[in-house]
Amino acid sequence: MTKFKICAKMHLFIIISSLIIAIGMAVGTVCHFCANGFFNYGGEFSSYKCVTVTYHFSEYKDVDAVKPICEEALKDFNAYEVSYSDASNGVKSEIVYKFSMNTDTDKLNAAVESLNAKLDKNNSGLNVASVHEATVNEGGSKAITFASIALASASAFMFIYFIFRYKLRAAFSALLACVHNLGVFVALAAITRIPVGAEMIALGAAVVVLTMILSCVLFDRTRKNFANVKYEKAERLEVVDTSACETRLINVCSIGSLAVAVIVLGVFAAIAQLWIGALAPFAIAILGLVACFYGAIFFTPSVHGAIDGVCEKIKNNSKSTKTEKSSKSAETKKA
Amino acid sequence: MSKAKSVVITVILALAVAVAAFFAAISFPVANNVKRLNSIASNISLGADFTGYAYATVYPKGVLTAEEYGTLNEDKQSGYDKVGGLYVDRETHSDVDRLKADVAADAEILNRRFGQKGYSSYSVAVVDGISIKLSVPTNFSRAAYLNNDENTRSSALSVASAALSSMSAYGNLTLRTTDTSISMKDESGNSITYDVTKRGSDEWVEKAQVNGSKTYSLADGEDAAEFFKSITSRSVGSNAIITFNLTKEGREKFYELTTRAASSSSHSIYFFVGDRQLVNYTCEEAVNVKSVSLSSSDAATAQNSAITMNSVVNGGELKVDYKDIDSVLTSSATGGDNSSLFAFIACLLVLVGLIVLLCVKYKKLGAVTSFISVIFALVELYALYLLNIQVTFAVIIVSMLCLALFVISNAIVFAEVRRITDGGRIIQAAIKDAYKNVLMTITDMHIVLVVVAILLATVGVGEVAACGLIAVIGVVASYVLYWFNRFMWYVESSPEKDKFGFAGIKRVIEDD
Repeated sequence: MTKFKICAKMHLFIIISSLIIAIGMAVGTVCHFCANGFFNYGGEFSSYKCVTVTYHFSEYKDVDAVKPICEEALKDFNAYEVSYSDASNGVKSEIVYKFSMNTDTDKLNAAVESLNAKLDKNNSGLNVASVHEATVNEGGSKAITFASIALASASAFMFIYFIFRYKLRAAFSALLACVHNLGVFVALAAITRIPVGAEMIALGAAVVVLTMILSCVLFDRTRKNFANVKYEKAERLEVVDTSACETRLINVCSIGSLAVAVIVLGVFAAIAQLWIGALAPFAIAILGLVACFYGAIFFTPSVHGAIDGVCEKIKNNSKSTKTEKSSKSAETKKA
Repeated sequence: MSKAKSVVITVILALAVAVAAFFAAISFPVANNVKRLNSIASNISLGADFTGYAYATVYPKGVLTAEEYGTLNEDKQSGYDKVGGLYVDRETHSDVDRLKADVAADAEILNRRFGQKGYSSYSVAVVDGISIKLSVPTNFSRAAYLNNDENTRSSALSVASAALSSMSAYGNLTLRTTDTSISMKDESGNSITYDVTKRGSDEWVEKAQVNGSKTYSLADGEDAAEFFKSITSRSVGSNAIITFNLTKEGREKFYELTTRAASSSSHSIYFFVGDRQLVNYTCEEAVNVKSVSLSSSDAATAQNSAITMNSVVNGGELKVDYKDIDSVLTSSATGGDNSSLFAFIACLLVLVGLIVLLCVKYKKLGAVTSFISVIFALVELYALYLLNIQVTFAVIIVSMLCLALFVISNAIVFAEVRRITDGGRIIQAAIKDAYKNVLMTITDMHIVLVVVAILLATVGVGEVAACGLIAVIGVVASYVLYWFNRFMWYVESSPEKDKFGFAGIKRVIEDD
């Protein structure tokens, strides 16, 4: 049976990663100009149409008295979010039904007109429903800037620390792994067009943190195997490959258990909200785990193997040049 | 270790964990049902997904809601045009397109202002092109959200309301006084009276009030925005400080103004944005410095004021005259009323799943590790409560990542123990060697992560900072509990005869 050596397939993984990232960037850029942005902004960033129902407690004692009337009038329009408000002054309150931007405004206006006739039972004009269109400004630029600064300085620290602990070649590989996994995560989010909210920034940071954990596990195993007498005569690439195999179970188990945790949370969120759209942040988290899984199992070991090989070659070359030089000088001296 | 010692340690620990878990998860009535002791879990601050938004809509003057329009008589109604679901007074706003452009520009400015607050999520939406809806997280705990904790609810709501109110202040920055005239002495020592109500030879009175008193511009009606380079806030412990960095011209002007204020009877300079007073500076003597710092009542107020004033001095002045916010509403949780409860149950399920997995794979050792995992979960829960970290979906994920770190650390050492025992060593020696062998791996992992977490917590803002903070706690707890797990392995396995079986390791005895 032929053993599939991950470390020998670096070119394949670089091509796959480059393709994913390139497609992601292309889709994102096209959507930035033609659709609703680089990502499909959802959550607090998504624009919407809404029906705001204002009712006074003097005529409707609580939300349960108004809710059935509103739901009956708006049942033909799929509201993706219904929000019941509490007013701080205790005189009146609101129910806000949110609809997607492509909901027909004329039909919605007609439905609201008939709703208004039912709501205003005492002809007081106090209880009114109205249709609005809300365009949300994309926020979070400061959060992205500062998260980027934090992650860049964290990566710099990791790079320096790894130079001391695992040599320069491992530090390079770890840095590449972080950039790669984050790139794949962003690209997947852009390609899949899953609605993203503010949690995307924190999840990006979590992807980098998870990559660092898994890199530590791999490089430590590699270092130990290099020091092991058993692998003294083995090729370096083979040792890296063996180390990747040995750490694979830990990687799979940890990412798998995190994925299960996210799925459980997602299922409960969907049950709580009774809306499939509630799964969006969880789907984004799963994309992050997919990026980490691909990075930890395939990309990082193969790239680390290649970098290690190149560094070793350079080291050997310089060694042999030195030996040649010294033997030449010895010969000259003899002569 | 003797069996008795082992049992005593186990029982004490189990009791402590049971008590901590009880107070963490169970809410119950006390004092004959008069009061309710809310659990730690229900007192944790939650994000908008779990407890909704506090929101307010700011309408330009001359724009009415459908409800306000309905209260007008027909004559008055005829003076309004319908724009979306709102009504615009034709006299005040003859050019609706211009109003829309101005409101859109103001929404951008407000977006930048709220972006600096570091909220986990917030929203600035232009409604019907002519009004702006501002939403910020309520920061309620579950108990406050369900009205089981009125104090926390009202204090969280007042913080959100204050932010919505002061950060939506419109108009220019002015420095004011309540004094109508100020008696001073000129350079030769002669008494002069500075009439604050007069600008040159024109008499004018400002509308803005301080506790019912009219205020007058101290700077002859000049735009005070030009006096300042930037205005920042910071909090050191319980003290909040606002710092005003003055321009060269501003320094001279501020010296002049503080000379006037020091000679006034109120000794005060009130900083106003439009008609809203944001800061009161008590001035006993003339100030001639590059930057002025003054303390504020609390960090949130200082931050709100600094962000608003800084926005104004850097060209972020709102163009449209808006009505004052009359009421702040709270919406229901975007994830559903019971989303926080469901999230808690889901977390418990994940923990139970982890316990089952550990017990199946590592037998009794798995049970010990599960017990420590429960302690880990409790530490995270109490940290969320004590450090007042706002829980969002991302924070939950990071907490789970930290739990995964703890489990990975232990899985690495367990694998090493198995590897060493496969080589024929006895279990005690294998444990000792395994912990020694993986010491640097585990330490490296934790050092890197704790530094990363500290960087995220200190440099990041909003949700990222919250994730960083809980990660710091999680990583430290993971490392400490990793060693505690080693101790508990020793305690629990001491009375056991089959120490290999305790760790779920099958010992292969080879025949000679």
